[in-house]
Amino acid sequence: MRCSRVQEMLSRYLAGEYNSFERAALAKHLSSCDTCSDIMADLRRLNEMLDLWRSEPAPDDLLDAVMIEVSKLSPGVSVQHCLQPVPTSPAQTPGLLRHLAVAAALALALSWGIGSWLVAPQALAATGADRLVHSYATASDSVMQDTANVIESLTGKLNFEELMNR
Amino acid sequence: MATDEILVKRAQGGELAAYGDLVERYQDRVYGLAARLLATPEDARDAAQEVFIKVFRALPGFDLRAEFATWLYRIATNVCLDMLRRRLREQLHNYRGSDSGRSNILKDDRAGPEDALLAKERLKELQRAVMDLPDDYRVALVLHHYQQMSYRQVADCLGLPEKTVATRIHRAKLMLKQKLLPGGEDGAL
Repeated sequence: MRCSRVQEMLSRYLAGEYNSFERAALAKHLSSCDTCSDIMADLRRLNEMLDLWRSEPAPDDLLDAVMIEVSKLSPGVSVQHCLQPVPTSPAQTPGLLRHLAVAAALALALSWGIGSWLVAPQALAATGADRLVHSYATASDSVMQDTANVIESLTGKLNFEELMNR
Repeated sequence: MATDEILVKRAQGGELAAYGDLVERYQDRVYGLAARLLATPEDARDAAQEVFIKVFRALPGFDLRAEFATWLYRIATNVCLDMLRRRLREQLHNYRGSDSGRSNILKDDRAGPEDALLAKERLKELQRAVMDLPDDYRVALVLHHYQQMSYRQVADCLGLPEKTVATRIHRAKLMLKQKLLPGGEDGAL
């Protein structure tokens, strides 16, 4: 391989872009050519010098300035919506879950009560009233307990008694 | 973290917040490119803003099979080169024969400790040398060295054969070596 060709390839060689065959050919030449080896050493030094010019971060106001401009190109979209995302602080989430849990508990309690009224008269015709009410109540209690456990694992605050009270 | 492709799709669907995420992701890199191609921090900021507005306008036509970053850099490079040409025309019009006109970005005269001052001088020398490269050489060098793009990516970005990119980077380094390294004037790089 001729020196002029090798020297043209050195930058790319240092960037690690050549395949193993090309690298082997260059390495072989460099091991026997002081001129090309010196040039490669210079290139290494030059790369180190170039690295001294570190990148500055973009100005703080660039993002907002861009979003204000592009929002003008998107009629009907408020830039405020993009610049100020809806807060999702951890403190708010348990509160929301708690409200959902209460709503779920109330819905269950209501369905349990209404269910007793609706199902009991039909069931009384076929089976004993006491047995049916007892089995229905046991099953419902079990569902309520499972629901309360799930809710408690989410909120860490509610318990079955509190749920029943509500 | 959403990929570029997902954010681009959402932005193409009209979700402005997704575009905001893309701008946030790339603003430092685009500004960094502009700062190394243009004369002043103000120009770099203006160029970066113009880039993201152009990208937004062109986004509906972006082909998702292409690489977003390469496309973005292509637009950024063109915006910077256009701005350079505009500034060059203004400079020629306003003050013919002034010394450089390009090195304002380097003018930072805040005092510091002695070693820091030396380092700053070295940095200024480097920046001047890079800024004095012909635009085509500087663009190829900056995209490769500072934006860490491969020769292939630079070629895609600039729409050039890889060999041309390799030649430009090689010649840019030859010029830098002559200016920056001891004995560079006589070097054979």
